[in-house]
Amino acid sequence: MTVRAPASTPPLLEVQNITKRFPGVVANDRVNFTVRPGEVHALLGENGAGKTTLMHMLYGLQAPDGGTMAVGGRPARFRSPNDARAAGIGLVAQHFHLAGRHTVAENLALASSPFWRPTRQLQDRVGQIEATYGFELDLNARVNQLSPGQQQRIEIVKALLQGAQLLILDEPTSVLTPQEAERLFTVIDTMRQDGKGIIFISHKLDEVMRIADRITVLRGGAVAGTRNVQDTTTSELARLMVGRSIDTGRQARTETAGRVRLTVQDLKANRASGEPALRGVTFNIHAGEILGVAGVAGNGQAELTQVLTGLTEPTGGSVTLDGHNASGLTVRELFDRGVVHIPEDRNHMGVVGGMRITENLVMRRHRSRPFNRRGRLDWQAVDRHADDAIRDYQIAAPSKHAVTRELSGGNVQKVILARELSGKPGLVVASHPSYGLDVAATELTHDLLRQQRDEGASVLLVSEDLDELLKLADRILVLYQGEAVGVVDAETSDRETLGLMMAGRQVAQGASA
Amino acid sequence: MLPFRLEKRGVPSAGLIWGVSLAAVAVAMLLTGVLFAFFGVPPIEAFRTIVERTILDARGLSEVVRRAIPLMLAGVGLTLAFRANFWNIGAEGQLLIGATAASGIALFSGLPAGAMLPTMLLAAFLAGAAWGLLPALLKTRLGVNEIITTLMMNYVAIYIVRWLINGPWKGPSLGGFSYTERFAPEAVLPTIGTTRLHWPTLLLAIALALFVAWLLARTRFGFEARMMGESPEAARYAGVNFFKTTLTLILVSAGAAGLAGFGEVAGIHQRLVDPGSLSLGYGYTAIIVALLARKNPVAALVTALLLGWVAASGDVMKISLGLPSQITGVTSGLVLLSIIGSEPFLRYRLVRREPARTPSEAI
Amino acid sequence: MDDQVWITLARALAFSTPLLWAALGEIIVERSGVVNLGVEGMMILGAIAGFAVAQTTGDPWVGLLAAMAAGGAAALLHAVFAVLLRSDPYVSGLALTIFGLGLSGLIGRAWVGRPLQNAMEPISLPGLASLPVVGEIVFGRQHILTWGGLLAALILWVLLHHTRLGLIVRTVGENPAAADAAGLPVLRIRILTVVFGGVMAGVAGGFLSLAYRPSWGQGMTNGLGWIALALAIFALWDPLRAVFAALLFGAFFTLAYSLQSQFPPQLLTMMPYLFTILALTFTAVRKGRGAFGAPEALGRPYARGER
Repeated sequence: MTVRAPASTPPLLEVQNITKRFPGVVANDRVNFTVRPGEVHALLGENGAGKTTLMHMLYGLQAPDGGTMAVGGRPARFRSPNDARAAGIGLVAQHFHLAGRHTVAENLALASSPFWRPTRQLQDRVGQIEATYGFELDLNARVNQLSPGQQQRIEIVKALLQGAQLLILDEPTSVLTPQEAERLFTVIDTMRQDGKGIIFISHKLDEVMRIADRITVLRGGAVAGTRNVQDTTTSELARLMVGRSIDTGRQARTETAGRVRLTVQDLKANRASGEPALRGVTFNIHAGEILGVAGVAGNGQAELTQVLTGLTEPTGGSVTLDGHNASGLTVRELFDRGVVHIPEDRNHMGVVGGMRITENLVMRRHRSRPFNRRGRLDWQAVDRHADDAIRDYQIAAPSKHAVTRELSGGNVQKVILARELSGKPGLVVASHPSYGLDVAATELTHDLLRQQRDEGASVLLVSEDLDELLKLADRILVLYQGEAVGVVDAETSDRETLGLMMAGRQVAQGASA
Repeated sequence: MLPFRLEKRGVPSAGLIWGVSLAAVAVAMLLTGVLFAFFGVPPIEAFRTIVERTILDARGLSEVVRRAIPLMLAGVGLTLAFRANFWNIGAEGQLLIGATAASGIALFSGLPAGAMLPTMLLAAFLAGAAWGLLPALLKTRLGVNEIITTLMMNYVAIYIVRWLINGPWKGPSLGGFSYTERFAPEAVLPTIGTTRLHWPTLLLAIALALFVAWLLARTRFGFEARMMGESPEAARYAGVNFFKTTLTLILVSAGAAGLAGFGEVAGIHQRLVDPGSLSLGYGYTAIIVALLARKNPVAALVTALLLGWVAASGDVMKISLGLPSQITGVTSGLVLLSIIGSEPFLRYRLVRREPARTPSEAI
Repeated sequence: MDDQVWITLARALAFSTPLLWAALGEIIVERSGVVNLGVEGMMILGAIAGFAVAQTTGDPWVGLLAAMAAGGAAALLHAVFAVLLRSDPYVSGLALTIFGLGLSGLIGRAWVGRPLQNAMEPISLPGLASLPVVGEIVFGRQHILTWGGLLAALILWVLLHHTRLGLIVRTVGENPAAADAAGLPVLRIRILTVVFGGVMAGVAGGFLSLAYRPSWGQGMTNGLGWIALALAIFALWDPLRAVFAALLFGAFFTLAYSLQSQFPPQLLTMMPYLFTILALTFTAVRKGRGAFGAPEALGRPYARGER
C-alpha cells in the first residue's frame, strides 16, 4: 500500500500548454505541469499570478481556451466539477463549501447518499477514513461550531469519500495556526504514502519548502520555473515568484516610542450574534509605535478593531485615548479625535463602489470644512482635494469622476489610505492592509504605515501574515479566544513563539510594556 | 453554442440607461398591442385613437397630467425610500390616510379660507408620514420585513376609510351613498379652466422633485443618504447616523404619498370617497414610477407622466374602443416586467465570440 | 358552549386552507434561497384560471389542474428573472403580483359576480365524522383540499428533513456554493422550487374560486397571498409549524368575525392585516433570542465565482 509508484506509471495528471484568456488579460499562458502518484506538487505564486484560474480549469469550473489535460494517461476535458470528480480529482477550497448550520453528516451526505435518511450509512464509510488518517469527526456536530481546522478535515473527508486520487488544496494553511498546519501536513504525508497526488496551492515559501516534492512557480499567468524541492532554496523561489529579489528584512523604528496614546483596560465585546468575542483584553500603544495583533482568524481581532473605531459598542472595560475616556464613542466622535481606520473589507466598507473617486476621497471628512458649508457640500473643494490625493498617492484612475468600482484592488486601497492618512491621524487602525495586494502596492502600504509611525502616530496593525507583523511591528499582541495571550517584542520574537501563543499557549518571554 | 457571449460592462452611461428604459417601455407597449389584437381591435388603430384622445387633445392631455400628479408625488417620495433600502409598498395606504386627514380638516375644522388648504396639506403630509412610521420603526428597530408590513397597512387604511364613509363621517344628507359631504369651496383646489387639472398640486410635485434632487446632490444629508443607499456597510464606517437618516427618508417618502391623497380629495373628488374610486392603485403604480426612474427624483416626473398616460388611456379604451379598461393594469405589470427584463442589458454587453474556441462555458 | 369551540375550529380549518397551501409553497421556495413576492399574483391567476376552466368544462377538478398550471407558469416567469437573469427578486415578485392582478381582472371581466356551476363539494371523513360531538362539526363538512393541505404539510416536512431531496434543497438555500461544489445544479433546483411554489399558490387560488367562495370577484384574494408570505416567516420556514401557524391565523380571523354584532364590519375586516403585523413583530423579537433564522442565502441570486 505504501510503496511509491514507479516512475514508469503514467502521471495522475498531465497539463500541457493550457491557456485561459479573460477580456484584457491572459490569466494562464501555456502552462505545463504534471503530478505523479505519491507526489505533493506545489503551485507557488503571488495573488494574481494565475493559480486560481488554473485550479478552476483543473476542477472543471472554467473551460480552458487552449491546451490539453490528461488524467492517468487518458485525455480529459471537464465540462463541470462532476467530470473532474468522476476522474478522481477532489478540491479543498480556501473558503470551505460547507453549509454552516447543517451537521457534519449532512454536509458529507451531499455528494452522494440514499434517498431516504441520507445520512444513515455515513458512519461506516467515514470510520475507515478516520482510521487511516488518524483523526475523528463528530458527525452530529453543527459545522459552524467547529474550528477552521476541523472544517477543513470535513472537506478532505468529503473529497476522499468521492474517491479522489488527486487532491487540490487551495491555500490550506491560511486559516490554521502553525500547529494545526503541522497536523495537516501529517495528513498530507499519509496521503502521499497512500499513493495519492496532491496539488498544494500557496504563496508561502516556507511551507512549500516544508511539504512539497516539486514546486511550480507561476508569475503573470505563465510558469516561471519548476524545481525539485531538494534542488532549490527559498530565495530562488522568491526570485522566481516576483521576478526580482525582495527585501524581507525588517526596518526598526529610528526613534524610541513616545508617551502612551491608547490604553485599553479589560475590554469586552460581543459578536453580532451575541456571543462574547473579546473577554477582557488589556494593552496599550505609544505614540510612534506599531503594535501588531496576531491570531488565527476569529479570535477577536475583528471585534477589537470594531470597538476601537466605534463600529461596535464594548460590553465592558475601558478605552482611553490621549488621556481621555473614549469608550463607547461613535465612529464620528472617534474619527474627530484622530482615530482612522483601514478596514478589512476594503471594497464594501472602505469605499462605496458605486460612487465617484472624488466622493470616496472625502467620505469621512465631508462633515468638516472646507467640504461642508453649513449643510451644503462644496464640490469644488472636493474636486481639488481629489486632484491632490490622486497625485500624491499615484492613484491610477481613468478620471477623478470615475466610479470607484472600476479601480483595481491596489488603487482602491490607495484611495482609502489617501483619505485616512491625509489628516495627521493619532491612531491608525489597519486591518489586513496588504491582503490580496500585489508586491508594489504591499510595499507602498508598508511604507505609509511606517511613515505614520515615524511621524508620531500610533498604529494598530492586525494581520494574519506573521512575516508582515514581524517585519513591521514594534511589539506584537497575540489574541486567542478573545483574550490576550501576551505581548512580545517583535525584534526578539519568531514564528514559532507566535504560533504557540496563537494556539493559546503562554510563552515565557520578557515582553516590554 | 451561440456565436455571442455576455461580457460584464462597467458603469452604464446615462444615455444607455435612458435608451434601455425606453426600449423596455416599447416592448411593454408592443405586448399591450398584442392584447388589443386579441380583443379584436387592430393595435395600430387603437394606439392612434389613444394618442389622439390623450396627447393630441387638450382635455385628454389634461387628464394625462392630472393622473400623473399623484404618481409624481408618491413616486418622487418612493425614490427616497428605495434609496434607504426601505421597500415601501405602502404608498397606497399612506395616500389614503393623507386624503383622510385632509378630509377631516376640510369637513370639521371650520378654519378660515386662507388657512384651510395649507392646513389640509400639512395634515395630509403628517398623516401619511405617521402611517409610514410603524413599519419604519419595526424595520429599523426589530428588522421586521417592511414589504409585508407596509402592504398590510394598505389594507388597514382601506378599511378605515370604508368605515368612516359608512359610519361616523357619512354625509347625513346623502341617503344610501357611502361618502362624506362635499367640501366647502375654500377647501377645494383651483383647476385650469373646466379641466380637472388641479395645478397647485402639480407645482407642488415639481417643487418636491427639484428639492429632493438638490438635497441628494448638494447637501451633506443627501451625500450620506446616497452613501447609505449604495452601501450600508460603508455608510456605517463613515459614521452616518443610520436610524435618523433612514427614518427621515421613510417619513418624507410616506408624507409625499400623503400629499398625493390631499391632491385627490381637494382637487378631484372634493369629498372623501371609497378607496376604490379615490386611488385607482396610484400607490402601487408609483412603485413602477420610482423604479423606472431608477430612483432619480427628477426622472420620476417623466415616468409619472408616462404611467399617467397609461392610466388615462384606460378611459379611452373603455369609452372609444370598447376595450376593457383592465388592460391598463396588465400594461403596468408589463412595464415593470420589461424593466427588470432589461436590467441585464445594463449589466452585460453582447460580444461576438471569436471563432475556434474550446466550447462549453458551463452553466 | 363546547360546540362553539368546535365550530370555530371547523371554520378556522377552512379559512386557513388557502393560507396553508400558499405558505407551504413559499416555504419550499425560500428554503432553496429564493424569495417570491408574487404569491398574491400567482394565487389570483390560479383563482381565475381555475374558475374559467371549471365553468367551461363543468368539472372543478379540471379547473384545479388549470389553477396549478397557471400558478406554475406565472412562477416560471419569476424564476427566469430572479434566478436565471439574477434580477432583483423583490422587483420581479412585485411585478408578478401587479401583472397577475391586472391580467386576472382582464380575463375574469365576463364572469364577475356569476356563481360557479359545479363547485367542489365538501366531504365527510368516513369514521372520524361519526365521532361524538366533534365528528360532524369538524370532520363532516370540509373540503378535500383542506385535508389535502394538512397531508401536504406532513409530506413536505418528511421530504425536507428526512430525504436526500430535502437535503439538497436546504443546502441550496444555506450555501449554494457548497451545493455547486458538490456538483448539484443550483439554478435548476431553484427554478424547480419556484415553479413548485407557484403550483401550490395556484392550488390556494383554486380553492378560493372553486370551493371556498365558488365564484369570481376581481381582486378576490384580497391580500391573502401577502399574509401567506408572512406566515412562512412566522412558521420559521417549517412545514409542520406552518400548519399550526395557519390554524392560529384561521382561528383568530374566525373569532374576529364572530364579534360582528358588536363592531362595525369594516373594522373587523381589518383585523387579519393587523394580526399579521403583530405576528411578524413577534417573530422578530423571538429571532432576537436566537430562534432559527431565515435560510442564510435567502434572497441572494447565485452566480458561480461571485461571493
